Amino acid sequence: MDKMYCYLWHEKTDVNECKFGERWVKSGLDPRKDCLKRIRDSMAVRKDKFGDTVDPAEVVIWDVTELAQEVGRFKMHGRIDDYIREFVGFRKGTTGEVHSLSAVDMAFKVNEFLKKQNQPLVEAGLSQNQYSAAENVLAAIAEGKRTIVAELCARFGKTIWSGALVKETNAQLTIVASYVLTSFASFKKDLSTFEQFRDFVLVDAGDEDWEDHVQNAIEGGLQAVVFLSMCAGGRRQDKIDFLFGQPVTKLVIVDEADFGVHQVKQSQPLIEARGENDVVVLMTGTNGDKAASIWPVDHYLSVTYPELLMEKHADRLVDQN
Amino acid sequence: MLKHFKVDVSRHQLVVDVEFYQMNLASVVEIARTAEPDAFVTDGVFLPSWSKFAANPVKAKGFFTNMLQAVLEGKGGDDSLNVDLQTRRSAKEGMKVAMMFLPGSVLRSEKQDNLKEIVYIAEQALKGFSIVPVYGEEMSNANAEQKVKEAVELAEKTGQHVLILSAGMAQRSFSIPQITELYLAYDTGDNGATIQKMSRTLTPHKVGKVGRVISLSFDPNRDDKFDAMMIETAQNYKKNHGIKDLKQALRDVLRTVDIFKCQADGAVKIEIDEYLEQALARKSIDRVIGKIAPVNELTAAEVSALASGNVDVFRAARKDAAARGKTRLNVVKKKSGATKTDASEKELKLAREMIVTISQNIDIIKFYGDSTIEEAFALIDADGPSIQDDVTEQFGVPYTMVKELVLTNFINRDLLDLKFA
Repeated sequence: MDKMYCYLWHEKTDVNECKFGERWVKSGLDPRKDCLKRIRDSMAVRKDKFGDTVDPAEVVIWDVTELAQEVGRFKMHGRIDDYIREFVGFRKGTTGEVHSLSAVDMAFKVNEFLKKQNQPLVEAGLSQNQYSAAENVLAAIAEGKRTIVAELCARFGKTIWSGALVKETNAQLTIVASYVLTSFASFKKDLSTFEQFRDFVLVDAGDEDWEDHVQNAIEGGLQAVVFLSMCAGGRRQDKIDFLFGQPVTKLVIVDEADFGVHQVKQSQPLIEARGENDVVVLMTGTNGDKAASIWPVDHYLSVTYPELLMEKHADRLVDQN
Repeated sequence: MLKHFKVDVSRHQLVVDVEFYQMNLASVVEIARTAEPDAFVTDGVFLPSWSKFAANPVKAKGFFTNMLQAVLEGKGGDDSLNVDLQTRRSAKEGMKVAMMFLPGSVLRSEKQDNLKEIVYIAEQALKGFSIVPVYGEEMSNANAEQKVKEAVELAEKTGQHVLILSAGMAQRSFSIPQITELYLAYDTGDNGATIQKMSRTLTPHKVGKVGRVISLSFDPNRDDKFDAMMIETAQNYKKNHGIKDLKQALRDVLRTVDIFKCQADGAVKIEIDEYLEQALARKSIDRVIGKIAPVNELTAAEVSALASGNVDVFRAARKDAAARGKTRLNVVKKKSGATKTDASEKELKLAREMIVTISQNIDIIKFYGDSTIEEAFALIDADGPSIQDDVTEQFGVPYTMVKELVLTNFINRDLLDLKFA
């Protein structure tokens, strides 16, 4: 069956704008490849610049077939993209497909809109390393381990993996703490993109009324994921007191745990606030030992970049083992 | 088994391939010495190093110019330094974006003047390159990526290659997809920081991208920048795949991850036996043993005892901690209100050094006895105090401490055994 897809991309050199369009994907075609083809075709006579202009891994696609059917736009050139963009806003000009906001923010808004429309999102699949690492940590938690270092290399896919932990542990309240505030954008994007994360309520502890959002989510039986800046000041201690005062089980994910937040004065408020049964995952790309230096760590997991390559080139191992 | 997720094997293909190269700079050092005999000489001792270069780049200008031109432009006639030959890079790959990490010590000069000198020398040496320095008042970790992206875009328009120079900035949260060559131009450093730096070439770009990490070394036999990552990978692989022998695991790692040594007729892949021999010679395995020793699992009293080599105190502290169910360092509040762990950083460092010392000398034990370390210890025990005193003297660590740490597996036995593989 033919399907209707929307896609989102941005130029590597312009992170403040993005392009949101639609693609009628014919039966039997790979939707991602077909959407990438459409993006490439849109570059007209400079298709050779595609790789330099667009990072294919950053392109987001959505299957909007159901929505298109519901609103009478399920046909080639049905302009379902225009239908969605009216709700999202930030359109550059009155007729174009360009939006004046980052692709991360745009993806978040599209996801939120589709969720409200009860539309299915993309299913998140995990790499073998992500899957095994999640199994490893879940087994450790089941054994009673509560403070876990996860030293996960570059390109591992830490944010989706974190989301998988949130989902699988069914934590009612997850606190993502970081000293590196840019990491919150990645979390926001990935945790709003996939079907498995549909019931997550993402809350920035820097926003107004954030406490209400957290409590409403918990009371509504949803999973609250709160982004907490560990930079000193800004009522940090009040926020910690509020979050850890919630009478639910908590999962604490400390992102970039070897950077800033590894210092005693940054981590101690969390160490003192955590409950006995709260699970803390100290997530880092390198220097797991540094990240662990002041926490009572009882489980250590590491995945190195060569392990990702071993998974990619597993065929090289098969014939000789 | 996860309830909500499945494995998607297509994700594996998104990982950028990487090749590691060890490049020996001896020939350009010799050229520099011919012109200037006291180059890299301190107090009459000739010992070239990146830190010496960083301390006085103008004095080493000839070396640095020759090195850049030999590596990036193929000049000077030493093909072992011609990176395009070594990496089999062809002109059809088009514009090149390379990044070079210099010694952090270069930043210690007043107003970063030495880094400015290095940038100037690079600009003079490489006419076909746009030199993009990552430093200065207008550059911060927050805006480095955007500024460098703009510089790369500009160079694309003018048809120039790009060489990004950094002495420490932009080693994290810095993604320039076009970077395909990553040069490590420093002597040694923190393993985590080295991995962060290498990761700058792993951002996906065009299909089939290969990131090339080139260690520019004055002595490849002592260059251990890739070792900790390889050994850690082998350990993880052994643990996760039920492989009995760490050497076999390391063999598998080296089948999928390529390390090359650069030679005049092209790069040659380093095979397992040669790699192991080199890793042993440069004592990399000992350093990894020290790095992964679970020192943080100890109490402050245990750390202190270990750091001072006092086995009785160490044992007593471990028993005491076990009895109290306490096995971790604590964060404690000092009287002044400041907080820190209950073991000092100095003691933690000394404790790790103790582990490295034992590992470095373990062959004294192994070769005293029979086929296993356990049998060797039994023989030494039976032979009485004179041999034990001899061990204590040679290790600089009490014999009883050595025995305690090895037999309780506090020192990783897999890695110790790898030393005798």
